[in-house]
Amino acid sequence: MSKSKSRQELVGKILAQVVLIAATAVIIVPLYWVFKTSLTGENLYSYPPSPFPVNPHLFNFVDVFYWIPFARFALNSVIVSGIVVFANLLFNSMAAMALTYDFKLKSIVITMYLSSMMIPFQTAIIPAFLLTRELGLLNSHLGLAMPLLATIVNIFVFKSSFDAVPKSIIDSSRIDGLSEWRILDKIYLPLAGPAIATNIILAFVWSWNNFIWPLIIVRDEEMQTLPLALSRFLSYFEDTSGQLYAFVVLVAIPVILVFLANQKSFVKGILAGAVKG
Amino acid sequence: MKKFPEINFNIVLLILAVLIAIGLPAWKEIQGTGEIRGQVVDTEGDPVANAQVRIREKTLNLIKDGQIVTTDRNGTFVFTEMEMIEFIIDASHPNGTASVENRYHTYFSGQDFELPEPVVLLPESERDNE
Amino acid sequence: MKHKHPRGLIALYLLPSIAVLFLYRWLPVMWNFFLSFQNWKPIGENEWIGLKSYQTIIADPVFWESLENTLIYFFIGTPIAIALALLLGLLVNEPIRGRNFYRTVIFLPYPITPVAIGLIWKWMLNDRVGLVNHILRSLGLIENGIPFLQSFQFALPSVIGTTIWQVVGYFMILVLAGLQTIPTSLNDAALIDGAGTIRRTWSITLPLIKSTLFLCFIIGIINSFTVFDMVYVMTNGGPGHATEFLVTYIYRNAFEFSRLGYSAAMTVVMFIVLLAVTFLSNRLSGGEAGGGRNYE
Repeated sequence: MSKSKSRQELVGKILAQVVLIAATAVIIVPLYWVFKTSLTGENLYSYPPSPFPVNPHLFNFVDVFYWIPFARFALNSVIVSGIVVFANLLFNSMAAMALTYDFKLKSIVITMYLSSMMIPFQTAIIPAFLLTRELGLLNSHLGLAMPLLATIVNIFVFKSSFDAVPKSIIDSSRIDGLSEWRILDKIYLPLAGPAIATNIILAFVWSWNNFIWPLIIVRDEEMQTLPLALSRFLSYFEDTSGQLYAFVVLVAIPVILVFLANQKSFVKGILAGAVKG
Repeated sequence: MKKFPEINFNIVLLILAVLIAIGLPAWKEIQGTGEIRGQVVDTEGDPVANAQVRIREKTLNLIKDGQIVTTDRNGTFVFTEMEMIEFIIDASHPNGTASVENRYHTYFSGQDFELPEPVVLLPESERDNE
Repeated sequence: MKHKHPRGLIALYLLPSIAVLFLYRWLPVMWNFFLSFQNWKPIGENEWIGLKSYQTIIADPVFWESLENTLIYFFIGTPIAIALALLLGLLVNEPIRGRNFYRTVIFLPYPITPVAIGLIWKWMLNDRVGLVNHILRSLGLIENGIPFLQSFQFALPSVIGTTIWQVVGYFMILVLAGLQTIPTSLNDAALIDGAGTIRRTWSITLPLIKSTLFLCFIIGIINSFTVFDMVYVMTNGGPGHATEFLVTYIYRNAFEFSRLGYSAAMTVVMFIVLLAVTFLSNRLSGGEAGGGRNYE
């Protein structure tokens, strides 16, 4: 290898690191800044801002907890997400199981599922609202969970997993007299660990982060979920950035933790969703 | 199969964290009687009796009017059944001395709290410097 | 062995998910359609007004502005995001030190709720204490802080910039997945032939991930037509309507002005435009969508 080529390579490598470090900085700095602000005791309008928390304390978090019914809001988010995750696991695996059969309308059903992905929820907000109102589910945990009870991406995640199970196993268990539900429960699901993980993660994240739907159907302050409460915090209390960003940290942390702990499943779910789209 | 226990563990941790975050303050509130106590001293460090100590709750927007109690022979005072997380304490004495305002912030509402340092009564001249 | 499939059971198992999809995707499409021809009243009968809402839409300058903003997001914001994601993806794909760290960090904003992202950047862009202004001032580029989110010229780029900030990591992951399907033998052969990195990337890598890039593009289209959370907390469409997008305007009309019929009509229009744009893009690129590779 000629000298200039290896020098070229070195320059290239350095350049790559520089670009990546710059990109990382652009991502991390705002996140760090918010985190730092949530811990700070300084007067937030003092200038210039300091790069480290001044007089760090946890009282901003305490204030968030007591100034608003934070515990209640967190509970709402947890309950709604719980319903969504549970329903997703149940309904999606059932649908995927049904799709392992060959039946006459199968391709129509699959097309229907796939094309539903072209209908974003934001185009459905008005009828969804009217429908939820008719059902008397406005302002309820179930109403909040309804639109997300089954998701197409996750159905296909299960389907891929189920399709990988050798037909012979399924056939022989049928011969052995297992009911279909048992087959789902005892054969497909235990082998679908990754699919279950992906389902849980995606369903949880979508539900936890959901904002527009709670914004539309929540009428009482006490039924708010965390993102909704977060957006309203700003209007209740002006100029309380330390507390506001403590609130931001509290809302973002669960999802970040879920992501960091399950990166592989997360990414797998993302890819599955995108490709099927 | 390996993924499954991994998920469970994280979710259990998460749920545990949520329960603690909500349960701990609730428990503290039930546990504590909301007593806030402290001592008033003069510039020499000796306890002062019969001083008036005032506590005012500081909420986001305003400082509420609060209670006033009198210190006993040992200069100690106690406010009971308090449910505030941030408050201001100041003291005064019929002899003309008074303290500056001290702000405190607790972690839990309704907890028992002891002032970390005594409230010092200062003559008027020194107070203006603060 | 072909066994008799239990039809009843299949239907039963499909039912819950189909019901949810029907109620919250398909039914709304039809409902919007009918609603758009009516003048919705909270109590009592809706009156039928035919195409009046559509006529109002055409005459509504805010509608056109929101459509324009949506298209700007899509024509300018999305390509920028994809270009950045492509660059970062190519770099992270190389065997360099710290690539896992970079990959994780750059993706990090994506799972965070857009409400939080919006509030984070609202703070960063604050004219008095925002970090962005602080840096600009320290570099001597400006005298006083720029009120990014309150100015007519900077508000839209700021909002679009924030969405790019969040989505780049997501596109990058897609690009990485696409890159990893390229057989290394191709690259190795080119190396042996003496091709430099740039040339290899241009002639081999890029053409092979065309379908991935196109996928990002389609996702970008959908994002531009559905962006709401971030805009709502950052500017709520302001100043004026400089950052009004289709969805925010629809939301405002439906739930702040209670003009449900009008909003439904706009939703119908938005949906048609979305389908048209997607369809056209698909055509223009030679039908690449979904025709790519199977990642499973």
